[in-house]
Amino acid sequence: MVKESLLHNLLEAALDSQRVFPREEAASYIVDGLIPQVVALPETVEEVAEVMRLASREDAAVIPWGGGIAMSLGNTPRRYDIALSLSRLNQVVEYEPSDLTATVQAGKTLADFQRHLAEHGQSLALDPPSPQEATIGGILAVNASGPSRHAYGTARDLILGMRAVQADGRIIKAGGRVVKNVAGYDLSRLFIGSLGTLGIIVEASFRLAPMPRAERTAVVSLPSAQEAWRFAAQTANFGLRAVELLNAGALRQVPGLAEAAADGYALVLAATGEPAAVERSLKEMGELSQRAATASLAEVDESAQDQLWQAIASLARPSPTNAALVCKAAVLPSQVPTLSEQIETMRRELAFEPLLVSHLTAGIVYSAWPLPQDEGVQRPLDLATTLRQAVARLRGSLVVEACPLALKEKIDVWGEPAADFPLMRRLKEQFDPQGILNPGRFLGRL
Amino acid sequence: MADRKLVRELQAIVGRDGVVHAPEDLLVYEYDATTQRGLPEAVVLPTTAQQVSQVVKLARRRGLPVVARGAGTGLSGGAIPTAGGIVLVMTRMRRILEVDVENRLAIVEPGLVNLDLSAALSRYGLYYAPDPSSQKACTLGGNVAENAGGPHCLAYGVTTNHVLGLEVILADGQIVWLGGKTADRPGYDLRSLVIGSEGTLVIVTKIIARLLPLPEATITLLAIFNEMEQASQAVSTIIGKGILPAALEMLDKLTMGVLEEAVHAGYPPDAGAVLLIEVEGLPDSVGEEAEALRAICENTGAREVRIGFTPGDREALWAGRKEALGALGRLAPSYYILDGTVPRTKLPQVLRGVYEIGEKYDFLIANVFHAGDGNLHPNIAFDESQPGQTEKVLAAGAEIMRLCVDAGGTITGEHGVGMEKRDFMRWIFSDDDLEAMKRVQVAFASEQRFNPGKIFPAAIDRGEITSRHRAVSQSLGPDAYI
Repeated sequence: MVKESLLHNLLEAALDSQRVFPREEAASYIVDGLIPQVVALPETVEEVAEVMRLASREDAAVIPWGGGIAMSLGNTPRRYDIALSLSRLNQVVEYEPSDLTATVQAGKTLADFQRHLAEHGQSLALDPPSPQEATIGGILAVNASGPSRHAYGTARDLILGMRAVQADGRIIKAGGRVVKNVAGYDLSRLFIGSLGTLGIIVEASFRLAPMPRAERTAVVSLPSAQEAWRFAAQTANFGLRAVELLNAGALRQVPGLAEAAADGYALVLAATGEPAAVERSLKEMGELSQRAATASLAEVDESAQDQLWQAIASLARPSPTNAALVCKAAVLPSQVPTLSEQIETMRRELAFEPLLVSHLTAGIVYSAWPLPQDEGVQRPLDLATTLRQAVARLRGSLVVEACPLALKEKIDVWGEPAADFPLMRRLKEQFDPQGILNPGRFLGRL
Repeated sequence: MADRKLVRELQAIVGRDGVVHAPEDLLVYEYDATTQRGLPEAVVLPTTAQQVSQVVKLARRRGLPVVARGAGTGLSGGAIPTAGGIVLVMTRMRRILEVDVENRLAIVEPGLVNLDLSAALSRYGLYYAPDPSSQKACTLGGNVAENAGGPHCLAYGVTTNHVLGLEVILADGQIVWLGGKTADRPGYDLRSLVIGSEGTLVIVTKIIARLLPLPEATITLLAIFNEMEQASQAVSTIIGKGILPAALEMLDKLTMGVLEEAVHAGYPPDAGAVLLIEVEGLPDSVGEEAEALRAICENTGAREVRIGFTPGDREALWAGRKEALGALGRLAPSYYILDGTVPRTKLPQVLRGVYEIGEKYDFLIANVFHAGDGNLHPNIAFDESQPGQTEKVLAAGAEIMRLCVDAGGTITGEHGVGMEKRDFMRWIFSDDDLEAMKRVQVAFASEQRFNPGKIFPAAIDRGEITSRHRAVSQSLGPDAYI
């Protein structure tokens, strides 16, 4: 067992008292009801390494923190001694606009980083929810993405390299800062989406994207998800940045879109690129919707579109105040309509009102199910189970991204491990033999 | 040479015609596009994943290494069986098993030739984006092993950005899927680990490839500069202005001179450098982009910009680029192709350094490369038959690699580490970095089984059998270009 006072003292020696909080002041670092013994706020990569050396020596379990917005993700921690906040590692390490690459520390918030890049007309082509709070390290650890993945893919398509601190405190580097590099195993992509269970990401290098010269947004209302899919399939060559599918419940939450679909769906499409190409894409989408008897297209006012996209991006973000079940399903894009219809059926049978938001062309379907404060565990459990079965029939995956704690005790939020799991377990044993990094929270309770 | 019992056991798995074991026949599998050598004990040509699994199990019982091989076009010695053992030639597994047009993906076998996939997909209006320059010959399995790139990777990314899932054989013979058709699968991204692992972790038996819709319009530009510095400046300006063409290639003066003699490609031999630029997309946008590119090139000093709109015109502009490697054979009996990446803004400085190294060692060095990515391919011309030349060319190559690393770059952009560059790994990675990578190999339990003697420096890679390093030469085949 870790001795609280000993740990605290050692941390004070390694950092200083300004950057270490005891348990009494650690309440905001709660994870699934567990409060850590101590909170550490290192300011340098070397200090992160120092904390990990100490954690390793003391066999203390560490949960790395970024902005804290995705802490509901994952199974309940097996143990939790140190909250390791990366928030003070928030510098841009290197940025050469003419190279279209940048290196940034893990604790930098996405919004801060984007502001920096925007000065040169560039951006990191990632738009996950809550950019004001979300940090680069956190985004990478959970492989967060947003509507722009239609055009730019996910963090694994943008990463060039990273530095990470291993469980034993050793600092490693993978990849590099140049846009083409095949030297050695691709540990950067391995670390993306590993929820901090293999090492602590402290620095990342990215390929950047020039900001498009024009962007316009259109909303196409359609009576069914099937018709939305057919519509979207005809836009393949249009130079779109995003193709989002929202159900009526989700549309009601977005200012300006409430009237877009009485009880159906709406596709929200962003056309980007050269102004002439954007105009043509919009025009052709208008023609497509006129040909389809049941579709109607509305162009979003240019001054309102940024806000609109921010609202859409945060729809599936678990609310910190209201209890909700938030699930992320991944199926083949063509199966999104089928899954959406099945969820509609569940909605009627279970008398829930879910918000459905899909990254349509990636086959990602977020469903957020608001729960009454006094909700027991049974209905959410039935819901998650039914949903998981529906997704399994489509050979997809379902992750419960947020749910009441009582439900977490009854399911693996990541789903059943597959035949490749023994390899994953051996990787975890290799990279974190003591099991001190986020123990128990990942797939198969690694 | 193979012992008879091994041959019989292998024949029982793949049939008599699936095993090559006569010493004179084995020689064919001793090398790839490098001239490094390693002789296998037996060569097996499987047709199913089950057969691969059984061969791997047999190799395990016998303690033999297994090296998977595609077309043998690799440029880093990745397919060479340095420690002998069994070579698995995957070229009989070349079927397209499924094309899902709606979801834009295909399931293929690893022996399928890269260009054959895109050719088969064209009737659906789809294609597979990574286009290594050997794409008429190289296989998708080899592309996965090396995380292959190509001229059009500037806009679309390399192999890892276009492969969704892999069916693989583990070192114990087990068949498992890593990744799959659907996105964001829970768990560690083992697919990414395998891509670019140079055959050292698993044997790939099926590939789920992501497909793209064919662009509606393509325009090719050839910008001719008197000075290479001007061409480099144009590259930096293009990227810095936020234009990301589909391809952005550079050829230097020496290359153009040889090309003009060899094929009359129409690149002016008195020019300092040319840029070959391609833009793709909607007809409405490519026209504007092409105009913007022309303006940048002219402002940075291009004396002429030729533009090709029709397939015929575009092909004519590309002809010299595609013939370049073949033509370089005229410079000297052999040439050594290097592969390194530097930040794009460092191109002028690094190119100057490359020519200085050429002068220092008294070699002609021709540069034909993916300028938009900062991915250099200096080609050192030399005569292998002259005593001491091979050692000298390797020394010059190492110096150029060092130059790339010192400029903030890396030792390989797309050809892989293989045997050739394993000792340069320490220039970019610490012992701790390499050990972390080694742990992956331990987790896959593949260390002694799959393609030993690759990627890791010999000191890290304990127990490996070193082979004599020799220089790259002329065995690339008529259609290859880098």
